[in-house]
Parts: sequence; C-alpha cells; structure tokens
Amino acid sequence: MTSADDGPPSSWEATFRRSYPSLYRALVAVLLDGELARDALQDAFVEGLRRPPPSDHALAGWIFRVALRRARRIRGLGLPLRLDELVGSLREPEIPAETEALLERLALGELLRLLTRRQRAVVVAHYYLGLTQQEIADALGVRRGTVGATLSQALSHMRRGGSHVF
Amino acid sequence: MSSDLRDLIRTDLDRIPLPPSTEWTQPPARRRMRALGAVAITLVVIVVVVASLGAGQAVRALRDWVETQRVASGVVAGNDYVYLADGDPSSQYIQIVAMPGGQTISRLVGQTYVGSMQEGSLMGVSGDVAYLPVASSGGLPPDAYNTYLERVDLRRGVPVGRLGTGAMVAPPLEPTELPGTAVFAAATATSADGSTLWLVRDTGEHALIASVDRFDGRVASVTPLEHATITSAGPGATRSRVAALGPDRVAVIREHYPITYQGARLGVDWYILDEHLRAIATYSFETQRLPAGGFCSADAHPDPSGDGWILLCSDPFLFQDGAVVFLSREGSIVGQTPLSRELGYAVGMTVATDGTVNVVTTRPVVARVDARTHRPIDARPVSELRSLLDRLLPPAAAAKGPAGPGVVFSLDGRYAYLIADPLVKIDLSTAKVVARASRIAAVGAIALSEDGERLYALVIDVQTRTIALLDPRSLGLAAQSAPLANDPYGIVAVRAQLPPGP
Repeated sequence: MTSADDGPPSSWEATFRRSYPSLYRALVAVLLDGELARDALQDAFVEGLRRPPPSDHALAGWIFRVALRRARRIRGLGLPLRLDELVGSLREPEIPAETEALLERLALGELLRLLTRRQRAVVVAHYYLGLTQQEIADALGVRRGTVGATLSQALSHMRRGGSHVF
Repeated sequence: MSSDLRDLIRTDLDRIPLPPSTEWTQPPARRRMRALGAVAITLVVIVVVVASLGAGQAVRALRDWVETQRVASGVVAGNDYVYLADGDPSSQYIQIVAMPGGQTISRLVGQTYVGSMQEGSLMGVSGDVAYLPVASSGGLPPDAYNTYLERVDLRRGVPVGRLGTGAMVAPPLEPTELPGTAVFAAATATSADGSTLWLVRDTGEHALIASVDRFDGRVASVTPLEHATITSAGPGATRSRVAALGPDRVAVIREHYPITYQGARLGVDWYILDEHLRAIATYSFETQRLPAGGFCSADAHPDPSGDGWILLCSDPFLFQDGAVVFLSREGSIVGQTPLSRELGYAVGMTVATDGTVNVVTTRPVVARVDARTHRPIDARPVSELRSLLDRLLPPAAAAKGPAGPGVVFSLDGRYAYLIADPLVKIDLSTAKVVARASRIAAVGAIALSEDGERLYALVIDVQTRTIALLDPRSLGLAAQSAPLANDPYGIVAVRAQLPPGP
C-alpha cells in the first residue's frame, strides 16, 4: 500500500511525512478525535498515491482538505452511534485516548469546544497551519468571504466564552 | 488577541503526541479491524435473529404436527357432507363430498341458478332440506323446460323427492344476453325451521319480471300457498336471489347486469315481502336505494336489539361508502351506520349477543358498530403476529369471490376466518391474526361445520382442487380429500352426516 514497499520512500511519501506532524495535530484540533485524525490522514496519503496533488503549492491545504473529507466519510452520516464505536466500546481499547485526554486538559481544548467543526477548521488552518484565507477557502470549498466571516464568528465566540484564557 | 491565540494554538497543539512514524503511511489497519469486528458482530446478530425465526418456524411446524396427530387421534371428530357448486355457469351442479374421508358421493344436476363464476353468489341454504331448482329440456320442444324442485336431504346427502313446478318457456333473452348463464333462472330459500319454502323465477323480457311462490315446506305440495310477481325497471338484464328473513318474511334481491354481461352488476333492488308476498318495503337502486347502491349481503342477521334485521352493504368497487343498515320488521330503515370506503370492501359481519356488530373488510380492518345506538365504536386495522421474515412478504388482500363470502365467523363471534394469503384466523377483540393455515395452497371458499368444530376450505392448487379439513383453533390441517373432479368453485353448505334411513 505504501510507496515504501520495502523500497526507498517516494517523493510523495517524503512530502507527506514532512507535513504529517502539523497536519495531524491540526486535524486532532478540528475533529477532537485522535484516531479519526490518524485514519483520515492515512486515507489522504493513499489518495495522494492514487491521484497525486497537482503541484506542491499549498500541499498542506490539499492534504487538509482530503483528510477532512475522508474523516466525514469515515464518521458516516453523523449518526449518533457507530457500530464500530459500539464494538470498540465493548472491547479493551487498543490505543488509550491520550490525545483526547491531553486536549481536554489544554486551554485550547476548552476554546475549541466552543466552536463548530467548520469554525475549528478555519481557525486551526489559519492560526496553526498558516494558510491564507484564500487557501482555506480552496481547501474547504467555500468562498473567501465565508472564511473571513467564519473566522470572525469563531474569534467572537472564543472571546466571549474564553475570556479567562486571554 | 490574534497573536495570543496564535501562540496558544501553536503551543498547545505542539504538545499533542504524534503516532509512531511507522504508522503514518500504513493502511488503516485498526479501522479495518474495527470494521471486521463490526461485520462479525452484525453477522452474529443476523444469525441469532434468523435462528430465532427458524426456531419459531420449527415450533410452528411442530405445533401443526401435534395438531394433526391430535386430529388423527379423533380429538377433532365429526363427519360432514360438504356441498360444492361446480360445473359450467350455464349448467350447474351440486357435488356432495363426505368428509373427512374426502369421497364424492353424489352429484346433483341443477341446470339452473346455483350461482356462477360470473354472478358470484351461491344459493342460500338453511335448515336440513334444500330445494334445488332444476330445468330439464329432455324430450321437449326448443326453449321449453320441465321444471321441478329437487328436494335434498342435506344430512343424508341424497335427493328425497321432486316438487313439480310445471313446464316453462325460456325467457326471451337475446342471444348475447347474459351469455354463459342459466337459461332458466330460479332460486330457492327455506326458513331455518324448514316450514316455509320460497321460489323465485326470472321471466319476461330481460328477466325483469320475478315470479315468487311460497310453499309449505312440511308438505310436499306443488300448489303454492302464495304467489306474486315483481316487475322491475332499469337497465340491463336481471337475476334474482331470495333470502329468508324468517318464517313470514323474505327478501327478494334483484341484481341488474349489463345486457352483454361484459361488466359487473349495475345495481341491486331489494324487496321485503310479508307472508302474503306483499312488498312491504322496496328499495330500488334507481330511486330509493339502500346504501352502496344496494350491494348488500344476503345473509341478513337478526337484530339483537329489536325484532328487525341487520344488513351489511358495501360497494365492491368502492365507488361509494358502505353502511351497516338496521331494518325494522316492516322492512323500513331505522338506522344506518356509515362504513367509509377507505376501510375497504366489507366481506362479512357477525353480530354478538351484546349488540356489537363486527365487520371485516378487505383492507383488512375490523370495524365495530353498536347495534343499540347505531353508532360506530371503532375501526382497527388487522395486525399480524407474524415473524419478521413473513412481514417482508407482500400481503394478499382478502376477497369475496364467486365461491361466496371470503370470511366466516366462529359461532361465538370471537373469531373471523378470512381468506387471505394464506387463510388466517383473526381475534376480533384485538384485531390480531392468531393463526394461519400455512400448510395449504390458495383457498377459494371456506365454511364451518354446524357446531363450529371443523373448518372446511376449498383448496385451489394450480390445477387440482381439494377440500381441506382444518382445526378451527389452530388452523392445523387435519385431513384433505383427493383431487375433486369438475372444478368445484364454491361451498354451498356443510351439514353433519346422519346415517341413511327415514
């Protein structure tokens, strides 16, 4: 499955690995689910193997967008309970939810929970990944003005709900 | 704030540990495993559900087998004669089958109006003796018939005499008029106590004139006690039926058909006659009609809250609403309770001693009416206590076919036996299916024995027709006849057997 089928890593894999740490953390902040972030990124990697990004320009935005879409597909239609989650809850957890626990303790976690998923995506993409509003608009498939408005709303929410943080 | 937020985000997110780098580009194995686990659990759930259903089927089969053994051991005992209508619509017969043996012991020629595949109504029989109208043309000029009533001892399954009714000339029907029906149209009815016999014959152009005779059923006299004629108006050709309401009341039901018989009935006239055969009430479908265009069931029930009768009227094509109609002893309508056509075609009713009228429709729905107040009580859809897999099968609507009503009721009025797919038993108090005859093919007609202990079903399995004896409690199959000849299509009557003799 990987380009590293016992051979040297491809340029795509090398590029992906360089971007992985920041993208993984960004996705954790957006999805609030470490395992889902991991799976979504792995899917994005596979997607890149099948259909490489058109260029290295704004590569982080491309992976971010693909991963978010894959996360939506993995999570399904937003049903309140997934059978695999139910199954997982019946078994001994293979991976402790350290990531989520850590996020719970962080001040950022408290702020992010004040936001919608789209607002989190915009905030994290802008302030953490350093994407421009246009790059975020391209990544999320929305207008640039929508990104600006969403960012403004998110900041307003965080300002009201997290005044003790700032 | 922006720079503070940027710093906060970077500081906090950078503290989130990364997965092992070896897993970054690995296929999502855990998710696949989770999915496999979910699939496994799903399969286990399906297996458990199917196994439960299978166990239910096994229990049902075991119960049927036990019922069969119980019946075979004589717990459900009783010998009956089952009278079947068969033959060509223009030349009809009564076939007599002895049950549970299943042998055809006799076949009586009718060549008259027993009821036909087209007309969809059978002769009404009550009491121990039936009079089968016969028209014989042997040795006579064309269109001339020697007519008589064949007296049939229903408990012994044999004809016991003839009541001559004279030579008749066939009514002047057009060659294309009511094709395939009896040339000589006649019908009889007897009162429940056997004291009165009525004969109605259709004569005149388009058979619009009905000749009605009343005989003393206890005396084999060819001279009628009373005679009357009824002349109807209206389109089409007419066929009459007669229904006994009591020893001194009778209903003559005249059904109008298109001349060419291409379509269904146009409408129905009802005449209520007294002991002198005077029409004390007339309901012509063209003027003062009964509800639903006069499409009312001929099996009128005595009204427990009065001395009149209760009729069930329902349009088989559901062009109009039906009704439960309450008639006085003089034949006037004293009340009627509408039955919305949305409830379906009403195939039958039973009247409990407490005055509750239970109506079963093709929807199927059990509608209840209070006979004392003439008000509807409720209408409940029949739900089935059946398995999930069975629910996936398309339900088959009940029908009222040429074989007679598609529903019969237990003697205590608690249960309805409804021809559906398959035959089902409905608890009228709960409107739930409590038993199903799953071991027999399609049912064309049903009838209960006089004591209500045996249910007979005319089973139509592709090209063979048989009589099945069912236990009314469980609908388990107790016995089945050999294939019957002459394609019987309706059950006229069921009577307990008596040994031959006077």
